[in-house]
Amino acid sequence: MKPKILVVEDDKLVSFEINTILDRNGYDVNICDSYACCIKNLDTFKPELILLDIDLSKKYEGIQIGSYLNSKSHIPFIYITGYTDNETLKRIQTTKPVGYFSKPFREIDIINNIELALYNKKSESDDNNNHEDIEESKYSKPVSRALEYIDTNLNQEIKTEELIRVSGWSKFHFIREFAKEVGVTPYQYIFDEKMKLASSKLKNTYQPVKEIAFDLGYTSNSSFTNAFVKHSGLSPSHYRKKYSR
Amino acid sequence: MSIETHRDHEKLREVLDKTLHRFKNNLQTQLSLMNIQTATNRSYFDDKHVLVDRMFALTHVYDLYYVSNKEEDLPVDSRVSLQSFLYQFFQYLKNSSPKIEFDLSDISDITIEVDDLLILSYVIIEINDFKKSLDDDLSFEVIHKNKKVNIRFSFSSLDSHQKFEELFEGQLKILDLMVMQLKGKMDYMSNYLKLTFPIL
Repeated sequence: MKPKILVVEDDKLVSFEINTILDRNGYDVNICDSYACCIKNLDTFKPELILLDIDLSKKYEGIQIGSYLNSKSHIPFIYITGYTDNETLKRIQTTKPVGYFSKPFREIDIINNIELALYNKKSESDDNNNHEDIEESKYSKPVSRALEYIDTNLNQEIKTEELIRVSGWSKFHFIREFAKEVGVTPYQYIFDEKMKLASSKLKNTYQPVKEIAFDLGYTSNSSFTNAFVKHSGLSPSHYRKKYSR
Repeated sequence: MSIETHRDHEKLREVLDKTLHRFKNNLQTQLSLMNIQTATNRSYFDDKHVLVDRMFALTHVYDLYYVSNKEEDLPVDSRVSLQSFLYQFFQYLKNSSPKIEFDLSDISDITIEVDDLLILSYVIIEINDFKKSLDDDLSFEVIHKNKKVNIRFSFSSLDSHQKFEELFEGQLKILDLMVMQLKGKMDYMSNYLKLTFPIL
């Protein structure tokens, strides 16, 4: 079966060209020109890899999709960009793409990047399978499932009931075992992880504080600011001023 | 470094980053056009001329962009005057390919994004190449109405422009993609081809 590639690019000439190149090289391709279309295609088309234009709709919408993919799915993605300045590169790194290629590009650039990403994805999945077979995780399976759930849902409110549900344990047993294995309570663990991600975004990107709060599942700017002050002793804007590179 | 100097420095760097980004995107468009030409077997009457015209379109757009922002400390707007561009560009086309007439209504208050203006100039270059294939006279009429620009292209040898699609079957992919990129539409009327696109 042909590998499925989703191309998210709103420039019609560029998307047509990429489509032609991928088609010629034996890939099954779908084209999207917006955030909404991309999210819909994750379920309907089920791509193995996504090529993502950073400057979608001329407002960095591609990075928002990257952020979503990083936290919500395991689909690898590669950015296509005309930006090569340090700020943009730092900003995209926080969304963990498997690569990026710069415009103008050649056919060989696209194909090499895609083949490498698909190869790495396959090796990683083989490694994970072997790893699971050979080595026992340092956490019990219910706690591992809860940790994985936290990792993929960090950009929204995570309720303890949901963690209990994925663990399959009773409430009391789950909280006690989680604290014993991880060293902190589920609530503290989620809080620490969110604050770690927020600190990294404040340090390495120009993303507005309001947007970072929203990305982390906070419904208001003030609740995020209070949480951040509690964690680091500084407000988000002071933290950024002090530590941004 | 004083706060003000630092701020100016930051702004300048931002402008340079944006310019580099736009430069790369424009190169990508030129490259994509060439690759789509090969992939779709688009056969131009004069390949070399089309490439040269695209390069000059790019030069005219950026000359105008530079002139429009010359008085500013730092360029703040990436829109340029449609009328100034079209006057300049039609004059350029007339010099290299005669038998082009153009008529612009007063569109002096219309400004268009640099990237969209480039795509529009590439549309005009496509149409001009069709004109050469037909060894024909071509006239352009540009009208602005309700936040939309209408450009009418008419070829003197065609009794009905509705036949245009049939006449250039298999050769219109690049034109169609560029019209889509402008979020516009092309109507094949009896007396002319009509390109309509919104001013965003």
